[in-house]
Amino acid sequence: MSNNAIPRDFLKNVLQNGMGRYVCQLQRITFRFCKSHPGSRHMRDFIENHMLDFTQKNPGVVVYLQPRRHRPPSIVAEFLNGRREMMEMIDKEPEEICKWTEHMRGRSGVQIVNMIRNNHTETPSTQGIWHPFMFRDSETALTKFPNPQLSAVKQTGKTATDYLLEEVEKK
Amino acid sequence: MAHNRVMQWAVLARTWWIYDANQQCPFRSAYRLTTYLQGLHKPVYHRHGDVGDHVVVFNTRHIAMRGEFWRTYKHFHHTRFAGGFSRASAYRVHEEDPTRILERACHNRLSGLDNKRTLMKRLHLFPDEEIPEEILENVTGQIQQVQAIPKKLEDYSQREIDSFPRLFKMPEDYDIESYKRENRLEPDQHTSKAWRLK
Amino acid sequence: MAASILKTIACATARSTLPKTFRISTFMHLKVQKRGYDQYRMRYLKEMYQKRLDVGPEKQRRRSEWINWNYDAEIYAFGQRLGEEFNESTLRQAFINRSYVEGERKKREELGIDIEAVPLQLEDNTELAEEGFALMSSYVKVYLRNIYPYMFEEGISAVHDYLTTDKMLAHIAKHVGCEDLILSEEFPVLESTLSTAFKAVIGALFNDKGQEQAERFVRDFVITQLIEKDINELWHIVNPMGLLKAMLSLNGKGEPEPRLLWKSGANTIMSLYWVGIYSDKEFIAKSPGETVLIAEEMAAREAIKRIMKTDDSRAPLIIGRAAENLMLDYNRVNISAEDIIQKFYEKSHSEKNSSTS
Repeated sequence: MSNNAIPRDFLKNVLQNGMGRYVCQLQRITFRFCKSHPGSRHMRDFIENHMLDFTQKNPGVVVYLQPRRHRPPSIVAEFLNGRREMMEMIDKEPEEICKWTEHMRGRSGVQIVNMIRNNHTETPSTQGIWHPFMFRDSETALTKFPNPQLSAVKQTGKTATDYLLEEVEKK
Repeated sequence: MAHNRVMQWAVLARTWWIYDANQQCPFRSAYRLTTYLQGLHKPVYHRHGDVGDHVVVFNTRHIAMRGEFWRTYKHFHHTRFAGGFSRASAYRVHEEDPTRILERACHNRLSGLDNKRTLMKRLHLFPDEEIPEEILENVTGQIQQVQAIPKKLEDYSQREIDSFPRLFKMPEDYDIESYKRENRLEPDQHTSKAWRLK
Repeated sequence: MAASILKTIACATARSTLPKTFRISTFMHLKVQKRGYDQYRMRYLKEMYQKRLDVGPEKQRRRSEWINWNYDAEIYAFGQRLGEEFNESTLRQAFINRSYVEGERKKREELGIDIEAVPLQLEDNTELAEEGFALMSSYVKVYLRNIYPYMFEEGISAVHDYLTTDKMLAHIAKHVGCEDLILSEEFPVLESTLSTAFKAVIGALFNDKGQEQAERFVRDFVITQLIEKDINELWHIVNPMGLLKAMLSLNGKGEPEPRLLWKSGANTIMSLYWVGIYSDKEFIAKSPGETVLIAEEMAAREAIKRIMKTDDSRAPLIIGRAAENLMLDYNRVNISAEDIIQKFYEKSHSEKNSSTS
């Protein structure tokens, strides 16, 4: 009901990333798994078959492997803005683990919340934002109000009387 | 930053408008005046933003109502106590308070808005052409009138009347002066005595 | 734990005649019906939470203290992430702070190792930082002078000072990943340490790859911080009308004439005045304001912005791919506001002397 209970934020671009050059915001990613437990089998499969592709494509991301006994598999991503995101990878197929790793690579480290607006700019207008005097003649500063000329309804077109008087004048 | 501050001040500034209600219909005037009060004439309008302007109306004593409205248009009032209901025709209300009809017309047009009372506070009504200097100094623009004021026979000079071309000839036994005679009934003859205001 | 079990058993045996639906609360000796949860659990959890708060927050540790850390890999990735190929030795040197070197020296003294016999093979980053700062400083000024050719020198200095403060460079360094790589004694890392490290990175790039690459780096990371920032606000002009008068007089134009354009609500708090400045009956600039004086001052500032060609409708900065073939004049010097005012005073004095004599 209240509109400030659900977290939401404006869009942010960390350090004008992409304006000069694009810097991958993922700093390091840690794959945690158990060497023997069956719950980590997909993770071990991923590490054997898919992980090296990821490391070769992204030399700027440091990849760590952390074997932990009797613990479920997970990935921990650390971003350049200091934030840390953990995701559990139990019962996730290797393809899905690939997708989540790629998801982490593509993120800016900002927390995912509802967007207030899907655009943001500090310079909304180059021609200037409208103001009440934008299209008004500066003569209004000199006019004395009330002004009967400005107040009266402007006549558009000829009335029958005008037409009649014109005809008479012609003759 | 300082420039942004003054630019924001300029965009959201309140302008003061003046309106001459002489010979104007109060209901059609209210349509136009409430547009300015709410701020609908501005491209930066939003209901929640306080973007309405001030409107100064003068000559409210000289408004014009169509047809039988002076007699048939009623203003109702209830004091919220038992037996506190009363109603009055427009002409009676106008006698007592010459600004009330236009005020009520604007008030009724703003129905449904949360900030109706704030908007009504920004409407300044004066019965005649006397407006205080402090208010006149604030005014920056004039709202165009709603109805063209027709030129009455009294407004024509004798020279214009004489020089106007004769379109047709009247028959000799036609009574030309008959329009000058009174032919209107006493008001309120149709209602029973109990409901007539004293 | 054991004591509580014994207590419950003792209670059960003593009150075994009571119906099973009732459990006696040992706390208040009230009869309470059995519920689907342990009643002690909430109080226990609250107690534990309060104890955790009393102990205080987790100690801040360096990233290198955790198990998943490999300095060599991190150094390599730092270069790759920025899209630059550094020499590893220069890059390592760029992150070594002076405090770290001194710390190492002290440790060796404490352990009794002679420094002359076993010299420290660590060099700190102060030299690299100086080189990097010199390059960054000069390039920023050159770039600004070329992009805004009509901007006064004081304005350009103000923008340059804003971009090269410790705070700004530390902010950039943090978001580029320098914080974890820095070797220094104190933790958390100071702003000055971060900015020195960033300057040293630029210096390292300058040494390894040459001036052009280093300049591209400065353009991509330092100058982009000007985007969405109003550069006119960075330089505070004390007397804009005076400067405008001097400029116009030296350009041979008439004196600036402020005129009221529009006003609204003169008697109210929400009063608004629009003042325009004219010179030789030609319009220069206009601005709104709460009072006439404010509007006049702001209009003078707008006029100066227009003369400097840095108003809000200016073209965007040339960065990224568009700036790759940018030809900059390194020897350019922009006009100085002080010079203008000096010349104006000389001119007005000479005119006065000539008129009196």
